[in-house]
Amino acid sequence: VIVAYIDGGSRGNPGPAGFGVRIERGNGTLVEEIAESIGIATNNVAEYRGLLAALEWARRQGERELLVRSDSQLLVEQMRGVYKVRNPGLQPLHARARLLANEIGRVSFEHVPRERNARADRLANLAMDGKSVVASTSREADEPGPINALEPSPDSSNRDAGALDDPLTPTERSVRVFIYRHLIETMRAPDVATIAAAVGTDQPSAAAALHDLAAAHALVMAPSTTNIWMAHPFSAVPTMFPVVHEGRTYWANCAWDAAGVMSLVGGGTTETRCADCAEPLTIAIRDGNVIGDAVVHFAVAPRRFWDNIAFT
Amino acid sequence: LLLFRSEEHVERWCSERHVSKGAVVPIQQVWTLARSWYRERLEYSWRPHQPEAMARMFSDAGLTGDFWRI
Repeated sequence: VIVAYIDGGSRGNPGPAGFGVRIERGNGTLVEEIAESIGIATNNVAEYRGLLAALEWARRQGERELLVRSDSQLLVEQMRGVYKVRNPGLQPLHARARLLANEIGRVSFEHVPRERNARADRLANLAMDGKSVVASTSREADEPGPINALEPSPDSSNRDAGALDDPLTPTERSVRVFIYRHLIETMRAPDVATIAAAVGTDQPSAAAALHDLAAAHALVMAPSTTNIWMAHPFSAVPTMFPVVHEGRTYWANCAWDAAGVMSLVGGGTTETRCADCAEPLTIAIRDGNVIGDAVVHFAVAPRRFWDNIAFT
Repeated sequence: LLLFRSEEHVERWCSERHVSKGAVVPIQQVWTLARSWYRERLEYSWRPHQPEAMARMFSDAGLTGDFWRI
């Protein structure tokens, strides 16, 4: 059986955060190590992000069975269904983890003391320092891992480390991740002052980051303002496509984005109307499948999506 | 991207508004596409989709033909 040791943490809560994942075979042979910086986040979000990375790895590899070991009792008991997930910031991450675990097949969770999780802890600490690593090896677990010869990976958060084609700076990435977290937790887009405070910068820098993110098509600003209009698939303003999930209402930009919101928050229902005859139409996600009989009209071909994003 | 009860409703809407008809896609396929399109969206490491990735996602969702060519 494949074993994933996971750990996540932040320097400050929230603060610069990261996670580490160490994947081993049952006999202790090292398969892969992953360390990734995730910008500003809480401790528990970082733990979940480590879990998601491990589950995504297992699914990619076609593993049907996985044992996850973590020193976070909260995460382990929540994934076992013993603890409820009350923190709204963790709910979408938990829902994604459940979905991935179902797709993999048999995923079990074991709580281990910190000292048995030291290698994942070390990776998480590297990630918190801003180093990202993906390294696989067939060496024995007791040999020095590739982490000792660590080079920043191409998607490292450190832009000066050679990732010259990276379209986004670390600040822009943190701003982007914060906007989505804020949208999911509060159902509203944050304003510039909130963004600046969250990522530890001043308002002009936050406004500049928003402008650059819009130029990179990572979000859409309301014309001539510093207000976020769209962070796809979310809309910051009400639309014809509300997505209701666990008592929360999110707004999607269009029919496709309604499906996108459901995929990100882990389910939901959209009650809207046929654009032609105005008869009620409902789309819902049940057990990972879409329920509802409707069609979406793509009036604009994909290569023209951004010519007029409001029309699209 | 608007939602309709069926392709007939799309056609009526297009002719009444003098909008040329694009692609009409069942919501099940849109769900498949949306899941892959937005999979990395919350990740710190997210990047705008590259054309090859977009083309693959369309074809994986069964969306082929000139309309979907990037």
